[in-house]
Amino acid sequence: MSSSKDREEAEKQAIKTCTTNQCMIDFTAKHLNGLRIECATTEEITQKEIREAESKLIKLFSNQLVAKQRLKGQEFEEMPECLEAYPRLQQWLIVVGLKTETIKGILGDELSFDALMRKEESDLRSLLKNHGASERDFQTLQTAFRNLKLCTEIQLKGKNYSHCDWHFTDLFVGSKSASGSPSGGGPNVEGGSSPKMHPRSSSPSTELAALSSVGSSNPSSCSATTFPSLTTTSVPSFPIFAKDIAPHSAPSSPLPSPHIHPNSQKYTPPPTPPLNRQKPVSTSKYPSTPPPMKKLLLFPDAQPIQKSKSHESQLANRVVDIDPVKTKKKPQNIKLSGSHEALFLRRLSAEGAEMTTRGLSGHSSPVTSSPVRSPPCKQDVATVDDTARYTLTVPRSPKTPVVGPKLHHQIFHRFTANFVLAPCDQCASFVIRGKVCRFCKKKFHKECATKAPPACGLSDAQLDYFLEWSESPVPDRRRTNPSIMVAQDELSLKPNNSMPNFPGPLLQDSGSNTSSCNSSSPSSPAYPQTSSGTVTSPSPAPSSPRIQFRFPDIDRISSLPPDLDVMYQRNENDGDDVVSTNTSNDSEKTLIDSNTSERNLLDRVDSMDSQDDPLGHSWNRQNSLAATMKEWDIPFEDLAIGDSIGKGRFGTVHKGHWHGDVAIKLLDMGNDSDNQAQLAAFRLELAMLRKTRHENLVLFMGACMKPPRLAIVTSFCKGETLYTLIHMKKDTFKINKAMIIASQVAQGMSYLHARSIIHKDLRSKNIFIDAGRVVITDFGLFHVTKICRGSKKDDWLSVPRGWLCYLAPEIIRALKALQHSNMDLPFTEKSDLYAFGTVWYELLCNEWPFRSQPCETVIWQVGCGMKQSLSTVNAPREVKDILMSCWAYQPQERPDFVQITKALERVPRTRLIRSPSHPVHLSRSTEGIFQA
Amino acid sequence: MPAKNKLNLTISVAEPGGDGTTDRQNGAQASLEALQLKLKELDIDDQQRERLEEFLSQKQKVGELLEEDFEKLGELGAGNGGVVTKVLHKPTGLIMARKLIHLEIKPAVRNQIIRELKVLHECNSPDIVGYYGAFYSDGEISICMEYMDGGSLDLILKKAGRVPEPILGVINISVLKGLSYLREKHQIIHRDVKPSNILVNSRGEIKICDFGVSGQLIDSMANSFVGTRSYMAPERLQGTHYTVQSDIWSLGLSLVEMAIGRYPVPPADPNDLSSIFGVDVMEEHMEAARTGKALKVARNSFVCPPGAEGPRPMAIFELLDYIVNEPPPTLPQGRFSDEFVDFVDKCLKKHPSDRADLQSLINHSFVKKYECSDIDIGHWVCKVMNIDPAQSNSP
Repeated sequence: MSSSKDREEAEKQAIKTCTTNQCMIDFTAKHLNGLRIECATTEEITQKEIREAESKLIKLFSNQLVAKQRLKGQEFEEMPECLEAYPRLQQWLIVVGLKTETIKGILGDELSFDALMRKEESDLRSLLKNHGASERDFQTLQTAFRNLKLCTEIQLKGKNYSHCDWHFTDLFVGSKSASGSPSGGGPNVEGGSSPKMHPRSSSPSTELAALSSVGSSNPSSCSATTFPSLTTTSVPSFPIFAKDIAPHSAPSSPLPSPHIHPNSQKYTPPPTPPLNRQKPVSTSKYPSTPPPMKKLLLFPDAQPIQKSKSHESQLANRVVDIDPVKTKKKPQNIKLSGSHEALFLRRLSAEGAEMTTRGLSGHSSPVTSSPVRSPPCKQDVATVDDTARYTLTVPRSPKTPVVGPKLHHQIFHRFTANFVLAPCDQCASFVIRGKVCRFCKKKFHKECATKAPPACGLSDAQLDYFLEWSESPVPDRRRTNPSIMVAQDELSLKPNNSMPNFPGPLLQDSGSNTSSCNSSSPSSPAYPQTSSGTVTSPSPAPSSPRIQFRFPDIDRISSLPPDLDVMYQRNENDGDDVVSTNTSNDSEKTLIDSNTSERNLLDRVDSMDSQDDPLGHSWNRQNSLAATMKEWDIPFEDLAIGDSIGKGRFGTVHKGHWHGDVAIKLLDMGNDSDNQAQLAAFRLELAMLRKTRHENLVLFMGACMKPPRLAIVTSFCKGETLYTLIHMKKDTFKINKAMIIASQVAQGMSYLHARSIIHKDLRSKNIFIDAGRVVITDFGLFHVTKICRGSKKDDWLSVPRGWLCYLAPEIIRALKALQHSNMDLPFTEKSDLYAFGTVWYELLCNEWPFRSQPCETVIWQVGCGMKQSLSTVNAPREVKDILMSCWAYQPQERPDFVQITKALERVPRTRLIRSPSHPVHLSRSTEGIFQA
Repeated sequence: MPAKNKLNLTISVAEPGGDGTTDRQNGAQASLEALQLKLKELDIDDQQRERLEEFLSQKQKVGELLEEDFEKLGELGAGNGGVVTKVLHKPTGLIMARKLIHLEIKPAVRNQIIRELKVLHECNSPDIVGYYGAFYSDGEISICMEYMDGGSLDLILKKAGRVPEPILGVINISVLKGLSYLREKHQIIHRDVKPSNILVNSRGEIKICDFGVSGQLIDSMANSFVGTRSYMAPERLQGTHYTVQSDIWSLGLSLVEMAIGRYPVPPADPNDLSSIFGVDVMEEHMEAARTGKALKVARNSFVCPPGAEGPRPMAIFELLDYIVNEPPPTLPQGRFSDEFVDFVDKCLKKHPSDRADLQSLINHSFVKKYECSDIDIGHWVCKVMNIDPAQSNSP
């Protein structure tokens, strides 16, 4: 009795599985068909999609097969009829991509799916030939069947197959593994790839046969030839735990890179015998562990994950990158000689580490990377160290320069070759024919000219002074600003509106960010362009000897918001400021000069900031405040305020228009006199904010600070907040995606911290996700909320929902119910880190910690050091460790964001991390996070 | 989340849980008879019954509650995540108290809240503040309640300095009855007993309000308010499971506060405390109860938190930590009747299991002492709040 019941049950189950799978197959097949027919199959993306779809179909079909097998295994005599119909043969053939006539023919033969599958190779081949299929078709079918069988086997064995790639058509570029070698530990042809279940090994290599609707098959040759050209163009992107992605692309593309043979559109070179099992040929440049034979290792441990160029971190970097021209530019005129040599060594630091992060640590902590770096998108090797390089380095004291004290400016000579007949200014020996600087009239040997310090116009006395000065500790520097001295001697500034002339040799620090960088969104590649503009601008023939610094781009100036022109006019007022280089303060009234363009833009920003101490000098500060105000002041009338898009703690946020889409936060201030002090403090804070430029931070564009109209203008964040995604839409993030988001948040935060800006209000409502990119907003503005909230309820602390859980214990313990005292909450970087921990918890668990607890409970528990239990969280141990460390009770025990980023890298993942904006990612099957 | 109405007092002939308007209207109508029956079950005297019925019949006049029907008459206070205003419901001419709570929620959640609030229709007791209805408008939920012209006890406390014991005795009885009613008939734990949630009016009625009927509402509130005072029981602060015993703690704490005129955590300096009482305390109490005379309060409102150098306001955490870890507050001996002191002691045990439960408290001597007293609360309220009884506009 029971057995027949069981049988019924089992049958039902099997039928259900088959029907569900059938629906999915239908859908996916349609998708695949669409891809093949309608999409540009030369596109990487399409290829990936196709592979994905095929892989998925294989899995689905095999699900059906497995269901049937399992049923069979239970001693049943016969299958119910409906089950016999699965998998559907016709559909299978369509999916494989055979021609219609072939399909008709095969169907005409009235074979069952199983029968076809079990056919011998030769039989199959002849069968297909009979029906007009090509060899390629046969190969595809063959491969497809093979994959199917493999997949079924694996499933039956109960192993995890979800991450394998089972595609069976050949697509153009790319990698690939040998056809034929079964996964489950078969040898990989890609020398580099060591994935345990290397699906690719069982799929034919991919060639980009510009596809027609018929997927052409091209079982790859198993030769692991390296195609460097392919590596550069292809984006190996298989969802394997890639150790080496690049290597994947390396081997075995039988098609040479000029693969656009006119005919080979559809056809790929002669296939190698599919069942070619070969030893992994380690032609890969990257070391890898040999693939284990049978084991299913989910987590490669030995090797760091090597990312391809298409890795999102690369992509990210690439976009943000500083002008590559710059990175390669060596200081040309500078050779170090004599005591002055040391001074002028170019600051090489910035290029390497700070690719992604502009405005690096102002304290010039040079990372010793070579000045000539490879283009930022690294080809292959991205080890953990690399990521360290891409992260912000913590500013070190200015006294630890790598290459000696440096001046921030370089004033290059303009040499003409000439008869000299005088002693060389560099080496003091007699020169007959050499170079003369047009401006300062110094004479050098040809060789000495290159060695001459770029101090055109500076007298020796001045140089000495500089040397001394630059070696003194920083605070001293400020007081005895050599540039002032020099300036007073020599310079008179006659700035005019758009073409300020700096008669003096002194370099001025670059103007405000908006002038040096377009006020475009941080990820815009326009940034490097401008700088290259400035690079080229040192014009060969300046009009007068005194004018060395041409304002690079008049166009650019005019494209600036009209208010900022004001900035240039104001130079008159602040002679000292303008002249000072190293005490550059908040007032970016200094202008770009062509020579500074030699310097990395980062350097400029850095120098601007390096002695940034708004509270240090009163004169400094007044100027800086005033200047800041004016520079970043946006007349309220200029703002076109649109619809309200949200209500924050401040007031409302509107979408608006001000030279583009912006978000405008209108603050409604009370009229409390207390607010004045707070407002002033706020303005100072605002001064800090405008110095931020990072792809993961919202671009602060300006503010209107005339009460009662207070507005803060930032760039408009498209996309949605993490809060919306997690709490409203209930999106769950798989661990990979959570990692990606978390790392981007960590990156942005580490930038902020390096800039000495504490966010104070990091939470999911302040994190936008726009096409996979994280944008953090509202940093440093926390105090504004305090200003704006009325103090009607003096005895009460208004606790917005979802705020307490972000507060670190030291802050919670400091919470008082009296309104004004909350201005003094002890926010630090470490409290930001705690908040980050909570954000991460949200990512993992889709809710806030202490979700259902009343406020007082949360306050008491967190204040005591209790933390949300992680027992129900399904995440690997490393993740929980990191989370716990973020939530450490003692602030000093919490890591910093740099360490977080590193730690995130170390978390094992099942798949390649790809930017979520990669379409491949979307269609990926989402089974199984992984075993925790 | 408090259990739904297990006794299922579906009063409406129409389908239960149906659309708000019909439910209310039909419900109110048909309920009058049903309620009269229910009221008989309640242990209330005639006057109370009469008043309840009067309320219910007036409530019947109220159709669907709409934003535009209200006219604001004044502010009543704030707290518990919302603002309370005194409003006039124009169509019926009823004065109501309208509580506005700002929410950030999806429509589905909002409807759930309204549904959960419907339970309030069923809560009819002389010790529970009357409920007219609730509606959602423009990001805010409005809960319309019976207007109590005496206001809440915390405001009264500010005026009266200290509340005389006899008054407290009567108040205590009402509160206990109200809590008991909620628990027995509706299986609701109040969760938020404190002086500001105990309302009085010039007729001498004492009613509790703001009990946690809608869990979803609590979860959805955009803002919570945490203050310098917390009435939360230690076990709740620690996050452990809690029951109606937590309400008992809150009640005890509220009584102590009202009795000494100051929030009792951290405890006041005993000398200070003694000084506020006269020589013959009991006589003083009685006199104040009769006349509404204000009583002296301890001067020092800022107290030194333990370990601190000088007086400064306590951080919220310090306060909560004190409640959890330090001995519970007590009434000073000799300034109040022994029964009173014992009563609060029984309420203020840190372990919920040590605490007396509702039933034993109802049978406590403190309750018995004032059960049959003839103290006129209404009169006292009017005196304290300077309300002219003739002009009182309680319904």
